[in-house]
Amino acid sequence: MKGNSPYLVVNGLKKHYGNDEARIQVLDGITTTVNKGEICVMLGPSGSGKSTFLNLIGGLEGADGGTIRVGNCELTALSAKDLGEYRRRELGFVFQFYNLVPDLTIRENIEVTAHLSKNPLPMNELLHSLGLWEHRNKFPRQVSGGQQQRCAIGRALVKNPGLILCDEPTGALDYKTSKEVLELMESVNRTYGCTIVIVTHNAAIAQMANRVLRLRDGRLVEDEENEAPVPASELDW
Amino acid sequence: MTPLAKRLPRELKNNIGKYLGIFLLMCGAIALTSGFLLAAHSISQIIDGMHDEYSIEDGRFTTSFEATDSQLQAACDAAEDVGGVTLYKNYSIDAAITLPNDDGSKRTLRTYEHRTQVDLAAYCEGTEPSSNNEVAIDRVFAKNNNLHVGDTVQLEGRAYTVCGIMTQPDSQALFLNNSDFTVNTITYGVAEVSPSGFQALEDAGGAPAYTYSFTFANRDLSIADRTDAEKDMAEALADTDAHVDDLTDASANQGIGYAADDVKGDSAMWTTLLYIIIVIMAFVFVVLTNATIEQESAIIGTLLASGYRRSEIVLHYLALPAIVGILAAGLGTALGVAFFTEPMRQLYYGSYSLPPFQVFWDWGIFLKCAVVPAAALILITLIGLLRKMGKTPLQFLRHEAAGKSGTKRGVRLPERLSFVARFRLRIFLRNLGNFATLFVGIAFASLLLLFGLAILPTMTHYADNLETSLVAEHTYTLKAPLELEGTPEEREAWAALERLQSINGTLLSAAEDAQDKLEDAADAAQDAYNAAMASPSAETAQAATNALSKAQRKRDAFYASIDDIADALGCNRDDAIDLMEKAADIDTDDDDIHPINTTDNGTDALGQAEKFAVYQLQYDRGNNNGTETVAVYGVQPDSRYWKDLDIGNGKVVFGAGLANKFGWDENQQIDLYDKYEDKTHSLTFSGQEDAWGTKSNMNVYMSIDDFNMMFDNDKSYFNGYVSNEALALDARYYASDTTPDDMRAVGDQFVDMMDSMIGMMVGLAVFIFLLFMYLLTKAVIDRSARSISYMKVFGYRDKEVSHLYIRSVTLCVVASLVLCQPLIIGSLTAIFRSMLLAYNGNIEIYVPWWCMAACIGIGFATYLLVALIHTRSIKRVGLSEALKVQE
Repeated sequence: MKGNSPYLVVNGLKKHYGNDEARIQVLDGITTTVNKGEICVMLGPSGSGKSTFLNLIGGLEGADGGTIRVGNCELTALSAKDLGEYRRRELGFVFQFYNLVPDLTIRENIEVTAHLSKNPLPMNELLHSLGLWEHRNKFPRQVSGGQQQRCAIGRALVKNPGLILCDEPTGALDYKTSKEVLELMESVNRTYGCTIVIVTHNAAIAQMANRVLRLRDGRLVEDEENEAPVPASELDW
Repeated sequence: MTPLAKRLPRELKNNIGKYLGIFLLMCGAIALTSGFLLAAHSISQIIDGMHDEYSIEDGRFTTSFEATDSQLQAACDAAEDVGGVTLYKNYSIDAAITLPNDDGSKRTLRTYEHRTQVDLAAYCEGTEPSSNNEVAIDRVFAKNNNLHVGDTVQLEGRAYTVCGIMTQPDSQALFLNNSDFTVNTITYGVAEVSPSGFQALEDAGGAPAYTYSFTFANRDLSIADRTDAEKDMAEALADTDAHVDDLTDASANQGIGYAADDVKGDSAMWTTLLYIIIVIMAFVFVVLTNATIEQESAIIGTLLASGYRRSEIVLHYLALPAIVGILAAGLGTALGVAFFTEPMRQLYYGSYSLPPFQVFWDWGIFLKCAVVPAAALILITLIGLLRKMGKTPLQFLRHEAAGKSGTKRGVRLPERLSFVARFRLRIFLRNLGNFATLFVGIAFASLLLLFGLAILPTMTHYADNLETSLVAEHTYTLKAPLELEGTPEEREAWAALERLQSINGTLLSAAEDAQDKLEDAADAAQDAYNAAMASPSAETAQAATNALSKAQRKRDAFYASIDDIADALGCNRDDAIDLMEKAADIDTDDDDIHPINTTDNGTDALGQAEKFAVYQLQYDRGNNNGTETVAVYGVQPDSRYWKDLDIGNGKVVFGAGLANKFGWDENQQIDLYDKYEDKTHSLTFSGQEDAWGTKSNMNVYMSIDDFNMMFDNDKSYFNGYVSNEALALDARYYASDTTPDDMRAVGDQFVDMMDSMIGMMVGLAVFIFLLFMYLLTKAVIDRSARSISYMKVFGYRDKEVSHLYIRSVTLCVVASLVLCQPLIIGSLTAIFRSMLLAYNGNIEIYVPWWCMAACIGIGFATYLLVALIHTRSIKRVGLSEALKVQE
């Protein structure tokens, strides 16, 4: 599924918060390219700008400078409304704390975004592949954190997006569950060919990536292609 | 349909109390309003139709004494400019009525002759009176006094059988006096009897009021044109020496117009009340939805990040309030129309005499009760949602949806405050929006409650003030001056004159003519006799014989006319002649001579009686609020009844009610208009501190000499007596007797009218208290669920946690209940003032301390129930809440 065609192209991306003395340059000229179908892991300490990078790619906030192209879409040229349409069409999000709707079942939570797609993935098949079939009619509070994160991944995946952005997807999970979630993401990437960008503190996760980016103080200090990704099941930390 | 819609039934189920409460309040308020508006609209239609169906008069005037044909003709001629007028005798007698099981209360039945041309009665039961002992009684009076067809009542001591129950279109609202503040349906009513029954009532001692109703040939005249014509008529009557006591256009006749005005005013009040409830409901929805949005901030952020449009999220959160609003509006309107129209109709039919009810549908009611409330609720909730949803997806993800409240939470609190105080203060600051809405809700419910609780004390206080403003046990007003002192001979002479004046005037005129002719014939006979004696001849003897014969014929004619009078008086010829001779001692052409009361009231009563003069003028309230009827009194400078009234040296004193109602400035010129004379009198208001009497006192006082000078009366003119002893006054001159009982009847009337309304208002207020307190304080507790759980984890006991949270809420509720009181009293005062400005009289809201205590007590008792529920829900907050994963 992985190809050499650039899918996410970032060029000279800049972003700051605050003004004058309180000004913080969060991203300072990031340039990188992620190919279609790759898993890209972005590492970095707190405050390095990882989440901001993810938010800019996700069209959740605007950049001060530089360009972002996702597929054929030039994000920095889009209006707020068009950015919404871009997210609707192209993106899936997975957050550290799942953010599931508490009074919708696991299946219904996934249906929430399936509804946005003209060509969603088959629901039953997806539930089976997520390992949630048995739990499909349960509410989020009735399942474990790992199962909730699986549901969140399913919710991001079901509309068959080109790009899935994951912000610390295992940050709230234990080791075993984290590995299960990572295995699932790997499987999803393999099965559906979507490009996945994962932001994490956990350097071990970088081993499963096709591309590893490392940020420090808003600058990209490492941008490496991983020729031999390690299967998620073999990760250890 | 978006999958998010599946949340709606679950959200509804999980928060059924919230939605059901709002639904019930909206549905109930809309049902009551729609039922009311349909009843009110139907009544308005019925009233509008009465003008033609029952031939309602265009106006009426009352003369002190029966108007002569020439006086009436002068009035008719004066209206030729507007196409002419038709006058109808509409005499009435205010008869004292004794019921089958009478409790001794004074009741008055204004009894008319059965009408056939104007102001036709609508019969609800029974038949029109046909014999002289039948009476048809007003429906409301009959109902309030438990009278039925077939019952026997005494009118002026004479027995009448109730033959019918009816309503008169000129007495839809039962006002004893047109200037009264309110109707009197308990001790006052109207009735009609046959012409012979009316005569019998007069014979029994009833004093007729000589009222003439009229209709203009052009029935579409504007009120202004009508009023002009009526002034011309009054002037014409005055020019022909008819003393006009009253002139009232139909538009100013409360008996005709009050019910329609009341219905219209009440409709506006109910609609406003409904809209206030809807707006508050909408704000409750906004507050609750905002809390939900803050709670679900991350989810919303995720959905937006996933591509959901803002509009889709807004619609999602709007859906339930909209569904609840639309259902409540639709169902409420339907229920109101189906079930509340009749109870609302009864509210009016219990107070007003209206023809049989029928429903007239109006789509405006659907618009006002179903469309506008639902639309307003949706619109306000939508605006609130759009405001709240104006954040970026990232702000939602970062839980920044709370907006500025974050700043409030960050306020530094003085360290000298205890931890508990600061903790509670934090809860308050964090939930400032909720508490602000709660304050508004509590203030509104308190307003309704206090209005409900204070309305009776206000009215009874007003009645008490009216009673206090009566300076004596009896205030008699007269149609003309009537002296109480006189010799027995003088009384006999006036009694004879009064008796003669009680019969048809044409009989007396005929007798006078016959007497003149007899005297002429007698003179001629005497002359002929003298001539025959002076120069006796056959011719002179024949002439004397003829003259004598003629005189004898004239004598016979004269006796015949005396016999007619004797028949009318029910006596023999000698008695009639005796009466005429006694009456002849009085020079009726001398205006300086006042009639003398035929009854000697005794030395004690005479010692109590004090003369005064009174005349009614009109004060323009301004801003199209009509005119206030102001009674101007001329009193004795050293009056034993009007004490401490400084009216010496030409001073004019205004009643405290007038001064308070209109808030005049010191030395302001007050223009009072005399509608009978078309003349304006300017008086100077000397200042608020000089106002006299209670705040119900709407009179103006001056010395009787100044009074007579101002109104161009004779120096000795007066038209009333005040006395602590009852006086027996000649019916011909007697107009009214106002006693403290009459004022107490005003209070009783209000209790009767407002009783059912008060229960409804108190019930509604308690429900609003319960709902607002529950919903808004629940939002505070829900928002604090995690903190509560933390407190438990830290080792706080349930009771201690309750103390921290419930007591914070309790303090806010109590503070709201107490602090809103002055606000409410101020609002009620303003509402009352504006509501009643266009009515005669000055009623100020009167809130006794117990009303405020009861309002706070009921509010707090309601809150205790809510607090109990919250205490239980705090107990139910598990420790797991604290352990939940949260960013």
